[in-house]
Amino acid sequence: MKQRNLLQGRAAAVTGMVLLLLILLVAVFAPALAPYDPWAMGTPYLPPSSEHLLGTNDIGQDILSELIYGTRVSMFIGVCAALITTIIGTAVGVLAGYFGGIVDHILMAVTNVVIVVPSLPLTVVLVAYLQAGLWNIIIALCVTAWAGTARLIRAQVMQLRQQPFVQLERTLGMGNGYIMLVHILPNVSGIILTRGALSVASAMLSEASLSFLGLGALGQKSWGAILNNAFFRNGVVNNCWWWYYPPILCICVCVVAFMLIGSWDDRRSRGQNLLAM
Amino acid sequence: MLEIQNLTVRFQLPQGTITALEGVNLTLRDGEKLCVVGESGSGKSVLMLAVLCLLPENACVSGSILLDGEDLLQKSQKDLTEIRGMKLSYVPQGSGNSLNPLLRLGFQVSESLVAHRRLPRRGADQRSIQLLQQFHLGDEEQLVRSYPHTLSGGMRQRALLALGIAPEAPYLVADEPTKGLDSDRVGLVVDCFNSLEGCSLLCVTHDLTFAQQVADRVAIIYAGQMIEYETAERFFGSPRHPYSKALLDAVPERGLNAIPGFSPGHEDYTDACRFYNRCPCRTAQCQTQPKDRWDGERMVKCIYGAP
Repeated sequence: MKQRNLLQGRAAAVTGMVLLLLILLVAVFAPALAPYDPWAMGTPYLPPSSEHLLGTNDIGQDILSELIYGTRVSMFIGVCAALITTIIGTAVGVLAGYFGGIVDHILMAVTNVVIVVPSLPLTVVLVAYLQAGLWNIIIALCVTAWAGTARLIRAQVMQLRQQPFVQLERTLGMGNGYIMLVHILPNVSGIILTRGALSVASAMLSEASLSFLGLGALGQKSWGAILNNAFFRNGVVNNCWWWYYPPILCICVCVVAFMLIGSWDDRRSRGQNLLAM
Repeated sequence: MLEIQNLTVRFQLPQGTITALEGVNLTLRDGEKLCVVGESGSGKSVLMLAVLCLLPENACVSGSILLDGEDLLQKSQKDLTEIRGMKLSYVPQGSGNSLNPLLRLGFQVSESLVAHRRLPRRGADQRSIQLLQQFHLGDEEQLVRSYPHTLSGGMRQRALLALGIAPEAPYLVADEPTKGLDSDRVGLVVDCFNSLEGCSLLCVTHDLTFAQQVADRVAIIYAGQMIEYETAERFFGSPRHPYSKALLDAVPERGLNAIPGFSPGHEDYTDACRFYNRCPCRTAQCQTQPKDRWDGERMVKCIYGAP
């Protein structure tokens, strides 16, 4: 019975990974897969046909090719933002949880402020002031996103700090840095990976929102940017469904893939539970 | 030489102050093996944690703990990190998570050697195997590659002993190293401790049979006070304090005569001798606390306690 639950728990994550692998393949082999240059112009407003599988937009660019190249941009922004978010969140959480006291007070004060700031408006304002380059978007996405991860990791590290094996490390004369890296980090790796996967999903959503609002990276065709074009360049008015449904679908599939991966319970898959030992 | 002078440990709690340890004086000479014996809650673990300078932050420590003449209580955290790895080693209790569940056993047993002695990882695994073989765990080559949750309680306790003796530190502090071991395995621990040449051992235990086999000297702790400090030979022959006598009478081999009553809780401390309520030979004089009666290297905290 238990064995079956374990497999079921994994099935979702494996599905997510297969989806992610497909998406990554599309991103890597975009030039080979895309039938046209996404920037090349042709006949506008063509509905889907055998020549243009997903039709063309208002200046005649092939939408399928736009989507395939857009995978690169959306994934790059999502993964980079999630990576930075997770690194900052982990560092803050581990330091606050491990040292406690004044370090914890200061770091958590900052974290709490970041948590209560409404993140999308702040991101919008930041992007509006920074230049709308790829990296500035990524930075803007990271500014508030790390706080949740930091709080989760802090809570777990506070428990770990009390564990006898951490006490034992101190009696062995191990330094704080060593204990945090070698003994604490592996024990929160499950949370880090799960939160990391979910961060990619939320970063991609935020990026889509920003691009939709016209605050995306200039000159980059992300999925959100295609959506923005469809909306503001008469795609919706002209009822060009082939222009605005596909990017929405792509974003959904990608977000679902990362959420499925994030549902993977690391400890269960190892067949052991720290607190049950 | 480890000298504990007038060590008092109090804990500040919301309900008030608790005195866990009161005026303890102890000397652990080089190469000597000292067993600290006491009931649960008597303060023996606090004594051990005080020596390791690992008491929680709400502890208020006074007195001094001199390790080779240097007071550990005055040391900075950085200095303590050095001392703990090289001079002072520790064998923790095997129950609970004393080993990191996500790291292989071999890594953890020789971890201090890699960190402090710069032993290469490969050599460290070999050393782990040798150390574990000393405790007859069986199939040690396989064991160093396995994770702690695959070990039984007794195996984990022995692995922790291997871990504790790995740095070959001149001072070893052990916390109930025989807990959960059957008598054959206790024999292995005894052999191990007796073979530690030149290592001074401070061992907290309530296994009197084990203490008799290992100790050169015995310290009895009762309700936060050290009540007897004696060479093992004399202690197991003719204990001086009535509590010590009662303790030895409670050993199965000597008739399993349990001491009636319980040791007093921290809120019940009075001016009387702490053992007053349970003492078979109490008199009116015992209404005031007896002084530590030192007689050279021996001590008894009782007005009787024949020399």
